Amino acid sequence: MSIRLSPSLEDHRIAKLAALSVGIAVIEAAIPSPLPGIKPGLANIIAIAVYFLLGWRAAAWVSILRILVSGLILGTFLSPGFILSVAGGVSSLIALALLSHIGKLGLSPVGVAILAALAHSLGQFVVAYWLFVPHPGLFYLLPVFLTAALVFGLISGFLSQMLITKYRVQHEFS
Amino acid sequence: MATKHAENSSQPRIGLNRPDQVLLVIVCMGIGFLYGNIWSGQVVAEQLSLKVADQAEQHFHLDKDQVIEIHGELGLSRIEIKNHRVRFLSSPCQSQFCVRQGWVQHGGETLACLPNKIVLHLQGKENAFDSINF
Repeated sequence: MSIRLSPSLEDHRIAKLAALSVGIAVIEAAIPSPLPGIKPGLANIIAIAVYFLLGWRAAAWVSILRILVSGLILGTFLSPGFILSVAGGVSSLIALALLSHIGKLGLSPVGVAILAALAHSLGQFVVAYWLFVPHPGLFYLLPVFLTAALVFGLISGFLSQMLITKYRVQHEFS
Repeated sequence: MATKHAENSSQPRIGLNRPDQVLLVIVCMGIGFLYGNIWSGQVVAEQLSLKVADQAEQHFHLDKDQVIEIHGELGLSRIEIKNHRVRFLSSPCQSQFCVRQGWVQHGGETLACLPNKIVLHLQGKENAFDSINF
């Protein structure tokens, strides 16, 4: 006897969105980075849009699935890079959860994306320092990482704002 | 699906709203503060200490722009002080590493020409670590 799980419409939607962000993450992995740990994180465009349109739970599902699946596809599963991805993903999800609790502070997707990106980098930094490079010299890189997070958060924030606006215009009458 | 957060629809659809701008300013200040704090290991240099072989050190203030000509083991080295920075202008040595090192300006930094036995050391009020201590 087998157990049948019947996926709901919501499950399908999350799977599609997760697949979309896995695609972005895999393409992005081909872009060379000046410093290990700095990358645009364009897949977060989807996560932020999902957070605004479907809520935190869906965004958490999409992010976690994206991290797991892109780790499997890229062959980094359980590697240090993967652990850092998880650390970053979990910290930005925690930040988003806290933000939901205090009513988003009136932030637009751009502000939310900046906060999430900063939380991502901070969480990653803490884990990197704690697990991999417990050397005080690492702190010299912290402002650099945060600057990158700010810039890329801003960019992906604008992109997800466009995505959300487009989605809302299309669904205004439904 | 109906949009859940209708409160945003009154705001400009693309661009930064007021809370975003406040956040951006706070974040920029925070990151700037971090740069200042974490990268402030660099001490302003005040004087140049110059040592040739085993002679006594000579000191020069960085306030005054000048070219110091000094004879080392091999011959004449010219050292330039300009805008609180110091460099080897020319050296009789073969490798020219000292000249290629370029300008130094922070306390604790060192320039050396080993063939000509000249060592320059910048001193500030407190000395920062240089790459050797690090």
